[in-house]
Amino acid sequence: MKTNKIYALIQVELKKLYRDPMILAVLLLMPVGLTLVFYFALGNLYQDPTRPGMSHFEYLVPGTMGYAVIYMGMMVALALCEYREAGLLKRLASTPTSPYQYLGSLIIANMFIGVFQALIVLLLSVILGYEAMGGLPGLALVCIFLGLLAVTAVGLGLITATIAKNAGAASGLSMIFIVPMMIFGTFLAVYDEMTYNIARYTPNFYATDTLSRIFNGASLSEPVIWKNLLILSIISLVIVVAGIQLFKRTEFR
Amino acid sequence: MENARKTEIRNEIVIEDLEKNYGGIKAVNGLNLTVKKGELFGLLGPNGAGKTTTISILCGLLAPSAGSVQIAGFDVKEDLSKIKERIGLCPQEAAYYKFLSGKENIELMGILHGLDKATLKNHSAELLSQSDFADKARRRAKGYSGGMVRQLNLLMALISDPEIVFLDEPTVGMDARVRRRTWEYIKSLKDQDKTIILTTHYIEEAQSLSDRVGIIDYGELIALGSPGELMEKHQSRDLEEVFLKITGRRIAEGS
Repeated sequence: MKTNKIYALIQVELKKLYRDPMILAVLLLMPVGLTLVFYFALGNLYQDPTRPGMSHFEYLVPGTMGYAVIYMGMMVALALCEYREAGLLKRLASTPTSPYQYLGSLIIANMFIGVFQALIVLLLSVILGYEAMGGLPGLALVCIFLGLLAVTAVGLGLITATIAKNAGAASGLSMIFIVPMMIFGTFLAVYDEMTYNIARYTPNFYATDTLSRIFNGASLSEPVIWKNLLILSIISLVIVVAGIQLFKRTEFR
Repeated sequence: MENARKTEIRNEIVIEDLEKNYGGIKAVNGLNLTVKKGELFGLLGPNGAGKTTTISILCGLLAPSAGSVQIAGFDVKEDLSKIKERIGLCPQEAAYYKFLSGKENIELMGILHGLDKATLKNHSAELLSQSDFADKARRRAKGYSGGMVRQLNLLMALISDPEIVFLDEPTVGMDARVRRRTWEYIKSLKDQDKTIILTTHYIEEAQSLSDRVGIIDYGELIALGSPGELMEKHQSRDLEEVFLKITGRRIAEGS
C-alpha cells in the first residue's frame, strides 16, 4: 500500500510535465537549446593544447549534462513553493501519507526527469557528431552518476523551498547554488589550481569529471571513477537528508 | 475501564485546555470542547478567532502548545496516523492539482488514504454521480468554474468515507443554488452517522445544519449550545443576532 502511494505521487509529478505546456517547454528546450548554442558557438573552437583534436563544444558536453540535472533543483523549489501556496502540501499532510513518502516520490520522479534531460543533451550531441565512448556499461554508470546528482539537486531544491517564502523568491535563491556549480563544476574549461580546488566543493564536479573520463574512453575500473562515485553518494545523501529534515520543519506550511 | 472507553467512543472529539501560541499571541486559548459521534458541530467566530488553527490542530497539521486532543479515542500527539486514517479535511482554500482531472484529484486522495482499487472505483463513481461536474470529471480541473472547484474540494475530503469530516468554509464562492444543494449533501453525510465539524461565515448555514454551535473569539469558547438554546438564552430571533450580540459585546469590552 505504501508503494502505491509513492507510485501515485510519482505519476502526479510526471503528469505535470506533459500536461503543463510551460514545464514541458522548459524540460525539452533547456537541454536542446543549451546544446545547440554550445555547438554553434564553440563547435569549431580548438584552443586547448592539452586536448588536441577536441573542440570546446565536445569538452563541454559532460558538464552540460550535469547542468541540465542541477537545474532541476530550481524546478523542484518552484513546484514546492507553488504547492505550498495552493494549500496542496497541507492537504497531503492531512492524509495518512508520511512526509518521507511524499518527498521520496518527489526525489524519484525528479531523478527520472533529471537523467532524461541529461540524456537529451547526450543524444543531441551524438547527432551533432560527439563521440561518446564507454558503451552500454559506461552509459549505465553515467546514469547512476546523473541520478545521484539529481538527488543532490532535489535536496538543494528542498532547502531553497524551506527558506523561500514564495515561488518568486525560490527562483532567485536557487541561483545561489546554481551559478557557482554552473561556473566551477560544469563549464570552466581551463583550471588553475585555485579554481580546481573550488570546483572540488561543487557536487557536479564529480559527475562532470567522471562523465568526461567515461566518454573519453577511460576504463570503468579506474579508481578515480569509484572514488568520485563514493564522494558524490556521500554529498547527495547529506544534502538530501538535510533538505528533507529542514523542509519537514516547515510543517508543509 | 470499559465505561471510560465507551465514553471516549461516544465523544468522538474531546478537546481539553487546548492552547496554541505564536510567539506572544494566543491563537487558541484554553479551549475545552466535546463533539459527539454523528453530531454536526458548527464552529463560528469572527476572522482570526482561531477556527482554522483549531481545525489544523485536530487534523494533526499543527502541534498544540498545551492541552490535549482525542479524536475517535486516539491522541493527536501519539496516534496521528490512526487519526488521519479516520478523517477527511475540506480546507478553506480549494487545494487541488490543476493539471489533473477532477476524477484524478479525487482518486489520488483515495490512494493516499490507502483505499484498494475496487473501493476507490466505487467511491469515486458514487461521489462523482452526486456532483455537478460528473460529465466533466475527466477534464483537467484547471478549466472548472469556481463552484465546481469548491465541490471538488469537498469530494476530495470524502473519497475515503471518513468517520470524521472537517469542513472549513466549504461553501465559500458557491452560488445560492449550489450552496443549497451542498447543504443537502452535508445533511446526508450526517445521516450516514459521520461526525462533522463545520466552520462557516454564513451564520444561516450553521443555524440550518448544526446540531450544536460553538462560538469562539480570541481563541476562547464564548458560547456553546444548540442554535435554539443560544437564541433563547440571548433572546434573539436568529443565530446571526446571537453572534453579533456576543462578539460585538467583546469588541466593546475590549475597546
